[in-house]
Amino acid sequence: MENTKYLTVGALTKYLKYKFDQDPYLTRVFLKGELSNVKHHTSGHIFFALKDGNSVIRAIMFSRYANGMRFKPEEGQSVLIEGRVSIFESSGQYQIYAEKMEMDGIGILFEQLEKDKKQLAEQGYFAEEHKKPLPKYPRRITIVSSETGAAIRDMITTLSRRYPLVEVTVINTLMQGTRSRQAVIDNLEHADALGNDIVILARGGGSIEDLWTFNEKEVALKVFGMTTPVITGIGHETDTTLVDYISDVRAPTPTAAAEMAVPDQRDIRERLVQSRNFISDRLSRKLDMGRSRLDALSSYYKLKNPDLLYDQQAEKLVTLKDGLDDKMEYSMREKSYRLSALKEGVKYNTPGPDIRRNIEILEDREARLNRSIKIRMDNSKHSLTRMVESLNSLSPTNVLLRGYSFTTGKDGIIKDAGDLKTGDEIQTTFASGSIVSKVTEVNEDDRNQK
Amino acid sequence: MTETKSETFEDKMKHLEHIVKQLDEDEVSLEESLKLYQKGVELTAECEKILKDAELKVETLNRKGADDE
Repeated sequence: MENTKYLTVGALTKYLKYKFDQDPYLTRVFLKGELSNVKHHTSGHIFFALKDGNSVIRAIMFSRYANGMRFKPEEGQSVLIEGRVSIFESSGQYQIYAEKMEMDGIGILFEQLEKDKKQLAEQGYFAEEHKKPLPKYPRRITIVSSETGAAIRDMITTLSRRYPLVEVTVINTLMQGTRSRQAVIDNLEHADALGNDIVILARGGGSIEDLWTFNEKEVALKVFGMTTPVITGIGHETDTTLVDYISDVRAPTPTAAAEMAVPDQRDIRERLVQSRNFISDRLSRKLDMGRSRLDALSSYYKLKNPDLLYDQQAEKLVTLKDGLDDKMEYSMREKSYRLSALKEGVKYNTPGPDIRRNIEILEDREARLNRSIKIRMDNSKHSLTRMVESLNSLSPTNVLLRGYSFTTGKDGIIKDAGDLKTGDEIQTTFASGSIVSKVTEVNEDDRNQK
Repeated sequence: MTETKSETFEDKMKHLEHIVKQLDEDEVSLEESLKLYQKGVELTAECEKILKDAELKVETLNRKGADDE
């Protein structure tokens, strides 16, 4: 029964777990540290470790606590954790069971920075279209930076080496600490008012807290609102602050900002040499070309036999002159023809309005006259016919035709028997033919005797 | 050619670039080319001299919020 003094692993672990769970200091722990080995499990639980410079503790946050979090825990974040410490029996490892997690100090600032960055990006503040171009050969540069420190010395040295033509105005500015935000904003305002070609906003490397001024939204918006192009060079190459996103040119360091602001005089000198060589080369080529053209021209056969120069032209001149004469003549003829045609037209086609009206009146009257004469003649003809007809009815022939006859004696037509005596010779005319007879008896008005 | 004195360094560089471009075109007459060449050589000499003589001018302004603490 020697074995009875040996504990099982499980029993020991249970005992230890009991000790942990009983300890009032371990059931409610407030812990701060840096996240590492963060694993987001599909179940929603988060497994991670919390460490500082000396130690590390395993940690778990169950999904029921993890779901309500305001940020996504990531590697390297400084956090504040509230929870209890206990032992996970199957691995025998103690760990902290986190119930609350918040970002610590600068972590909260980072949270705000991410929000600002996202908002400004969405509102288009970082858009390429807002980036102002830098002048190729700036004359005056304003540097907003601290007068003390390596950054300003590096920048002056760089500008002097690369492009000593430039005039530099340094606005000595507090570049870190709580009062630096307003100082930077004010001095940027002043720098813009100077109206120089470029403003460099730069400071050397430092802790993230030291550089925080350049993550402030107000500072970034000030840079955005400036009319002078701004180059930023904040901290080391790995530091990218909010103003770097918004500035016209982002340089990784203050020295790089100075390099970007001006051309390098070595390049310019080289370009000057190249330009001189180029224009010399061009000129001598043009001279060579001119010379060879001159040679070619002077040996040209026409120059050796100058008559040839104008023979052709003289002949052409004659032809052209003839052609010109013909054309002139034709044109004159045509013009005079057109002139006479126009004259005719004038004669016939352009009576004055008075004349035309009078012609019309005249024609009208003539027609009316003709009409009335015709009517009159018709009337006369008509009455003549009637008269002839009535004349016909009176004619003796018509009477005779009806069977009457008339008798004539020596004194003409006899109307009274008393005018005749027995034995008188009378002529009786009929409608057709006549007879001569002798009167044998005269009865004067026998009608009256009755 | 004293008129170039009033030009800035940038003006001179641009002028020179323009001359180079013009001479690169074949349309320019020989007389014109000679003039351009002359001007170009002058400009390169002037620019080189300006660079040689240049010395960076630095002025420091201390305003409220200066880094003096």
